[in-house]
Amino acid sequence: MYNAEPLWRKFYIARKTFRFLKHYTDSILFKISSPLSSVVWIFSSVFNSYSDPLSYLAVGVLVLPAIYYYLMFSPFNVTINWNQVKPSGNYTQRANQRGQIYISKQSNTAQVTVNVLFDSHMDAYELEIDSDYGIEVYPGASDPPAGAEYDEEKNIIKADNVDNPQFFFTLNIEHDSDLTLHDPNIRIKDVYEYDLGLLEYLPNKLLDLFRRKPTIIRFSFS
Amino acid sequence: MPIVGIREMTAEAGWRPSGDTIGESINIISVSDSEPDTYFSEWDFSEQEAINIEFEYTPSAGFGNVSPIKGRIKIRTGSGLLFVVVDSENNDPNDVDQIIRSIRKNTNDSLKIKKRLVLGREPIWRFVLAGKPVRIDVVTPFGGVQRISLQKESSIPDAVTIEDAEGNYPVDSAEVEFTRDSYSFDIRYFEDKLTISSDNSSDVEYIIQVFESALR
Repeated sequence: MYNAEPLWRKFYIARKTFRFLKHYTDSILFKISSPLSSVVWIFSSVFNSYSDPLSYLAVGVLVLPAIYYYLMFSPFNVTINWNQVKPSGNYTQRANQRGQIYISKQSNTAQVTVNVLFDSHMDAYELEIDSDYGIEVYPGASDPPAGAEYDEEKNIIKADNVDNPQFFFTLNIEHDSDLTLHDPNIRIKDVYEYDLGLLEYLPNKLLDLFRRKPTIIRFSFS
Repeated sequence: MPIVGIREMTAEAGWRPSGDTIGESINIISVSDSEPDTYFSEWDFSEQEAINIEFEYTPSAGFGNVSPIKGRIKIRTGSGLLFVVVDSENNDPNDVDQIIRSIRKNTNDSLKIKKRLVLGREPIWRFVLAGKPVRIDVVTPFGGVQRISLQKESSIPDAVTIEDAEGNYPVDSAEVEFTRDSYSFDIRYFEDKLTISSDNSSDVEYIIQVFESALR
């Protein structure tokens, strides 16, 4: 399974760039900054030649948010994908093709496997499983994999001294349809406190801007 | 056939239920703390406090008559496990969940019961392989539950063998045969419960001891 990847994914920088672009283009920041930049760019050509301050501004509006986003959510070192296990059948397949989880109306439960592929040079991780009100998500009884532990109160799967950065676990999902909103979500977040490198010298208040917990994957329901 | 629900818990030293009830729906019939005999040879929890509570659980009234469920709660301080044993006749596994939920809700910090059973991959595999597995279904990373071949080498190509699966894939459910002295009986494992096909209470204790030992 892990080998069936395109060749470019074998390169660390390529993987990282891909993950960054995927996350960033999904973000609200990008959705605002890219059209804004276009608008400024058009204005710059309308009013004057391209070399005036407006065109610098256009480039800035495009590039600066991307840099900010990169610093805030780096290191982009993990890919997560999932497969639904239970219930199985046509409805499930159809929902999965739309990127959604199918929950049967009778049992209100589902089970998925979550494949986690960290880049090899990491030695600790913390993954928080977060869900909207009315949905309970928890690992199966014979999870997590060896070496990892599960913190029930925080709903975190974590491990130190990781020797296998690519692993998988199952998640049980219980859905109370009376309590949930229209479009409920489950999120897996990377809550590990990474070393921020040179940024560590910045004052704490500024650092908190960068210490966000990025969502790596989002599940939604059909 | 007894159904055994399992949870991890921590109990304060000397914990006993206060009063004759736990919450509104569980009536305590008797409490004893006799040390169990060692049935399973690798079991070394004989020093622990073992509290046995016999109870009667009355489900909150739904439609029609609800009959009370009798059962036993076994609290083991050494292994940190709580077992709820209920007979499977007339009762279904959901009742065990209800009972555990009810105990959990109505005990304070002196008996902390975890909401879910999450033990890790290795303990469950150790438990399943402590007897003679008849059937093991595992969850594979590609999605889907697969029955594994119990022989080391399978004649079916691409079959998941026990060697591939052991410790790597989570056990979805399993059926295991245990042999004591001259007779044998089956247990079924699924999620956080065991179903034991023997009504003998020492067999239940035996399985509990096997399970406790698998945690180490």
